[in-house]
Amino acid sequence: MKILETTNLTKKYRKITALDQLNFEIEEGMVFGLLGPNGSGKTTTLGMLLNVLTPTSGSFKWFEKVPSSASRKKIGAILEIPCFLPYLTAAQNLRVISKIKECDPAAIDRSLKTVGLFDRKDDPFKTYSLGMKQRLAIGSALLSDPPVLILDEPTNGLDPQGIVEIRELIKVIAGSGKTIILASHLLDEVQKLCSDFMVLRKGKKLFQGSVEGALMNQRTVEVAADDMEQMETVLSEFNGIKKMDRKNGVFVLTTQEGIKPTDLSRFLFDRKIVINHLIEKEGSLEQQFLKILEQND
Amino acid sequence: MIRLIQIEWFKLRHYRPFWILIGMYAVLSTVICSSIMGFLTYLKNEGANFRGIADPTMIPIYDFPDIWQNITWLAAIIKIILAFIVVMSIYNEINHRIVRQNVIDGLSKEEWLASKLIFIAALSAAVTLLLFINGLILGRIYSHPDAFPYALTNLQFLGAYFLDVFTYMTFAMMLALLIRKGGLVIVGLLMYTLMFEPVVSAILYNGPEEFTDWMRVLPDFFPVQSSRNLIHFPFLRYGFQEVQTFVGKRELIIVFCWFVFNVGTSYFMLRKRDI
Repeated sequence: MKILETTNLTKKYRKITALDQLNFEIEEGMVFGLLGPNGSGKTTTLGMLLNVLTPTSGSFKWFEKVPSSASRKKIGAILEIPCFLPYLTAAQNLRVISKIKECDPAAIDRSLKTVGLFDRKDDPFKTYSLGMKQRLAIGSALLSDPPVLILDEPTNGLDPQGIVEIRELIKVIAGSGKTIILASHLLDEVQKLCSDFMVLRKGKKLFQGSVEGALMNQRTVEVAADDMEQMETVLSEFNGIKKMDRKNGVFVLTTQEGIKPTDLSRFLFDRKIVINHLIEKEGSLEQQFLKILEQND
Repeated sequence: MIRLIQIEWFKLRHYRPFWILIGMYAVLSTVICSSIMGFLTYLKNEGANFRGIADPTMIPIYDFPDIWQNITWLAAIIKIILAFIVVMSIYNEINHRIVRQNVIDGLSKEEWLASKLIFIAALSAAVTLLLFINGLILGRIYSHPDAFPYALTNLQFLGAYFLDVFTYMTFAMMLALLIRKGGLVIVGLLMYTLMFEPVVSAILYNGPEEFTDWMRVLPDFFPVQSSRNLIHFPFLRYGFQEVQTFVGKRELIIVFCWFVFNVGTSYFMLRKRDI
């Protein structure tokens, strides 16, 4: 099932076009990363999808239907900063939300335990640290056990340990088959968590594809030998190298799909070249991201 | 409906400024209503001569059924406190982005507006009930026993009071959603309700000869004056025998139009604006 589909979604603020004719789809079970620099239109997109911003033009569908408050009850979402009533405790705040979402009040304790706030549930929200506020926001998004989660910069403002915790939590949730939309400007985060991603810049979609595919493109092999000049000539005979750079005394090779370091090693060994350095390097989304931005400049 | 009441109740139950203002209104409205006798006693002691009545405490302020018009008119003076409650509750939600989060969580904008209207209606009903109880107690103490059978006559003024505070609170809600700055709305509401409109109304109502007829009726259509007009100034009956026997149909229609305008504008702003 298509969880989400947008058609020419556009948002203009006076002269600025925050989002320009965005079209994309999200399938059930995807962990979808929404990537882009600050101000690229990520939050604007999510705001419209959650009916708090009015699109200038274009439309979208949730669960293959026209969006309504009923469809939003099936979505757990946090947008930018955690929003709760400061004078209410965590439990009281979630009580309000459980009424809005029409879900079982027993879910409140369960949710608070999931995000590790059960011990502090009777303290007012205003006494919470930023990390706790963020965790409570995730807890409230999980409250109704929704099939879809929207997380906008969920690790913003957290300490390193908190970031790891939240990422583990997201992985567990994603493993349970939920569809997750994760907006982030942290490439590393998207790489670690997402199955698919989309890149936005200045309100325009630059790229959409699977994370695996993007990483595959970026896989490199580093190789070096005592006699680099000789190796260069030999390597140029090897079939399956797409790109060869010499950096910091090693050759960085971008190989075609299916080429393993063993193939390369055997090839060089057969030609009497003994290597002193051979490393296969996973690509990073960062390289791919920079490439996408470069291509679109 | 019950769900919306619960949502609103959970939000307000632990909100201290709400209870402080409610308490203030309850105390003030009781004090104002019950202090007329004290005021008349003061006049008596000062030796005031009130249109031939030697003893001002003899004026039957608390006699049934006149008491209803008298105390509803008096209590309506401080209705601005009720408007503050509405402004604070709405501003509190806008400021902490609760409206936005509520919508994200699955409350429709219509439901949010409905929950606020229910709250306003409940508050209006509560203060009307308080006034009714105050009236019964004061009447029991001071009313001429011959008038007791008329205790429940002319309760229409309580109905008018309900409409007055209800409409005024929807006006405050509309301003809070329009301006979205709590302090500004409260100051604006104060200036407008207590200074601008009364002054302009007084000028237009009692203006010089050159004022045309339509200028003189203009204040009848003002947002605050129109609902104020539901209950006429009651104390003229003791001097001039001017008695309001029923709440006017024309006034009711104007008040209803304001109610529709206030709620309609609130809805329009929730609908069209980014929240």
